Amino acid sequence: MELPAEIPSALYLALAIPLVYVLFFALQSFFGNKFRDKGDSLALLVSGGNFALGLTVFTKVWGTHSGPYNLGEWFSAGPFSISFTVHLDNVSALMLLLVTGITFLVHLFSKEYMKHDPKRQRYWAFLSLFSFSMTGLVLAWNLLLIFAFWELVGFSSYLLIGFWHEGKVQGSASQKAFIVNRIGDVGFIAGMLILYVHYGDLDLSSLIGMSLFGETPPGFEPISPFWKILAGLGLTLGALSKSAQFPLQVWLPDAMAGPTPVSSLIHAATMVAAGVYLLISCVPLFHPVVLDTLAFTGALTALIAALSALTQNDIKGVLAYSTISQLGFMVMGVGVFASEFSLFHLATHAFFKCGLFLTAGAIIHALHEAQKKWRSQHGSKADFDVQDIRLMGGFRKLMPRTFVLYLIFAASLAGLPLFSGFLSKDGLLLGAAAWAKGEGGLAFLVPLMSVTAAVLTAVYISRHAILIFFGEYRLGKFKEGLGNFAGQIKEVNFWMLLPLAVLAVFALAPVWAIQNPIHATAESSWLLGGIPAIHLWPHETWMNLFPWVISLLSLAGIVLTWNRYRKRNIQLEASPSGFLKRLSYHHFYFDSIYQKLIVQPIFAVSAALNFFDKKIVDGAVNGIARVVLEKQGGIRSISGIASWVEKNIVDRTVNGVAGGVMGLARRSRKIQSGKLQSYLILTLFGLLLLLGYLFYFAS
Amino acid sequence: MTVTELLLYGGALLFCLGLFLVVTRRNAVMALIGIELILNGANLNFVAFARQDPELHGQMAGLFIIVLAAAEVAVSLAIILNVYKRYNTVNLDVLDNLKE
Repeated sequence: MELPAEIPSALYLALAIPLVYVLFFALQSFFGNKFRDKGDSLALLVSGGNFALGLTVFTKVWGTHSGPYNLGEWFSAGPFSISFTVHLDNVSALMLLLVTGITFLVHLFSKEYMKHDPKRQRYWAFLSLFSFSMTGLVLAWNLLLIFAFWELVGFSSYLLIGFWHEGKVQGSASQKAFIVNRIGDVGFIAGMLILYVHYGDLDLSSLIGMSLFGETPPGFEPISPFWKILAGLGLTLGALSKSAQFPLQVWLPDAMAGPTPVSSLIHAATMVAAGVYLLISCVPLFHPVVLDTLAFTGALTALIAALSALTQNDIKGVLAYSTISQLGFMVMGVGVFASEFSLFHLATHAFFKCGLFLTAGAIIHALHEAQKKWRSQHGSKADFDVQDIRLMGGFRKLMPRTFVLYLIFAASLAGLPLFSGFLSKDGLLLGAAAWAKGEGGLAFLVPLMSVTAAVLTAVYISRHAILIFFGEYRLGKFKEGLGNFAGQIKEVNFWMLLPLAVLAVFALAPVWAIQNPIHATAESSWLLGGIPAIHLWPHETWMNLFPWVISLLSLAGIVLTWNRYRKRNIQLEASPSGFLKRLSYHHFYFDSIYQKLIVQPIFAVSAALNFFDKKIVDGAVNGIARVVLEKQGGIRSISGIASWVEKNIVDRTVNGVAGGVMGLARRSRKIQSGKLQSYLILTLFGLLLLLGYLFYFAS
Repeated sequence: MTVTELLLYGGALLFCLGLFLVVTRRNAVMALIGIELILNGANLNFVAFARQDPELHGQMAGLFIIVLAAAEVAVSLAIILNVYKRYNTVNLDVLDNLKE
C-alpha cells in the first residue's frame, strides 16, 4: 500500500498531543512530590494546552482527508514488519477533540473534587498516562500499534480504579477490570494473528483495502469465510471486553470504586468508547455473520443493562449500567450498518454521560463537605453512605444549579426531542428497524430489544432523578439525629459547575444538527456529513414517525415512573423483594455465576496444583536430597560413601605418589653439595662423555 | 718420539696433575696451584706446535698465557683473601653455600 510521502502540519500537531501527555506523566511521576500544589495548575495547563491543540487539529483536518502516514518502521523480524502508521481523518480528528476536550473538563472538575486528597500528584500522572494512551490509540492505524495503546489504556484504567484502594488485593475492582479485559485481549490477538496469516500485514489501510475489494496479496491463499468470521469475532471479543458488553460487562459496575471524575472520563466517555471505535474502524473487515453477532450482542446487552439499572441504589451504579446499555446501542449500530450513528452516539453520549457522572460527583462532593461541617459543628460523625440515592431527595432545592444541568443530561440520555441523545439514538433505532425489515427472520428481535431498552432508559433515569432531586430530603428518616443535615449541604463551586455547563451545551440538539434538530441526516448534521456511511436501507415513510413513537413511549415511561415514586415510601431494605427485582438488582447474577463457574474452579485448580507442588514435587526433591546426604540407620549415605572413597583411596594414592616423588627428590638433591670440587668432577665427566661421543661415534 | 710429541705429553701430564690438585685439595690455595699447573700445561701445547711455525705464533701465545696466568693469580688470591675475611676459613669442604 503506497503511503503519501509528505506529512502535513496538522499531523505534527496531532502527534504532539500524546507526546505532551506522556511527557507530563513522566514529569509528574518523578517530580510530582516537589511540585505540591503547583502540580494542579500544571496539570490544568497541560490538559488545556492539549485541548487547544486538539481543537486546532480538528479545524484543520475536518473536511479534508489526511490519509495514513508511515512514520517509520517499528521493528521487523524476517518478512514480518510493523510500522508506526498513523491516520488523521475526520473520525480520528473528532475523537482527538473529544478526548482532549473531555480530559480538560475533567481536569477542571478534579481540581476541586480532589483538593483534599494528599495523593493527587499521582492522580494527575495517571490521568495523563491515560490521555496519552487514548490519543495514541485514536491516531494509530496499525493493529499492533493500536493494541499496544489498547493495553496501556487498560493499564491506566487499572491504576485509576484502584487509586483509593492501593495495596488491597482481595475483592479488588481494578484487578477484575484488568483480568476481564485480558480475556478480550486474547480475542484481539487471535484476530490479529489470523489476519496476519492471511494478509501478511497488520496495517489497517491495507487490510481494509484488500477486504473491501476481495483481494489477496501475492503469495497468499484467499481467506476462507471460516477464518474471516473467526478473525472478526476475535477483534469483536476484544471490543466487547473494553466496552463492557455481554458477556464481559461485569467489570464496569465494580469500576465505580474509583474516583468519580475517573468514572466520568474513562468509564463513560473515552476508554469504553475505544471498543466501539475499533469496531467502527474495522467494519470493512467483518463478515456478515460477525455483524449479526454484533447487532444481537449489542441489543441484548443494552436490554440486560437497562433492566439492571432499574433497581440500583447507588448513584453511580445506575449510571454504570446505563453506560453499558448505551454502549450496547453503539455496538448494535455497527452491526446494523448504521456505524455513522454509532460514532454520533459515541460523541453525544460522551458529553451527557460525562455530565451525569460529574453531577453525581458534585453531589457526592457536596455531601462530603457537609459531613465535614457537621463533624466540626456537632462533634459527632455523620456516618452514612453518601452514594445511596434512597438517602437523598429534594436536591433540586439544595443544589439548584446542579439540578438544572442534571436535567439537561438526563433528558439527553432519555432521548427526549431537542436534546442530542434524541438525534443519535433515533438514528440507531431507525437503522436497526430498517435492517431487521431487510433481513427478516429473527432479526426483528434486535430493534425490539433496542426499543425496549430505550424506553427503559427513560424509566430508570427518571427514577434516578426523582429519588435524588424531588420530594423531601430523606436522610433524617433513616438515620437518627441527622434530621438537620440538609442545612449543611451547599451547592458546589464554580470550578465544578463550569465543566458541567460546558458539557450541557453539547447535550443540546442544535449543536449537532443545526438545520434539523428533529432528525439528523448527513445534510442536517455536520458530524454525520463528515463520516463515511454505508446505507443499505432506503428511506421509507414510516421512518418519519418512528422517533416520535419512541419519544412518546419514553414520555409515558417517565410519567409512570413519576407517579410511582412520588407517592411512594422509600424503604431502606438490604436487598429488594420479589424475584424480578432481585434479578435486576443483582445484575442477573452474572457475578455469582462467573464466580461459581469460572473463578472458583480456577482457584480450586490452583490449590490442587499448589498441593501437587508442595507434597509431590517437593517431596520427591527432598527425598532425593535425603538419600544423598543423610545417614539412614547404620548405612552410609551416598555422600558418605563418596567421602570414604575420597579419604581412603584417592588421598592415599595421591599421598603415596607424592611420597615417592619426594624421596626421589631427596636423593637427587645430594648432587648439589655446594662443593666446588664436586661440580668440577661432574663437569669433567660430562666433557669426557661428549668427547668420547665425538671421537668414537660421530666421525 | 719427537721433541714435539714429548712436549705434548709433558703438557698433558702437567694438565692432569693440575686437575688432580684442583679436585682433591682441601685448601683453596692448593687448588689455585693446581689451576696454575693446568694453565702451564696448556702453554706447553702452544710451544710444542710453535716449533713447526716459522713465525712463532705459538711462542707469542705462550707469552700471553704467562702474563694472563699471573694476572689471574693476583685476582684469585684477592678473592681467596676476601673469602677468608668473610668465612674465616679456606677449606673448600666447608665452603658449601652453593648447596640448594
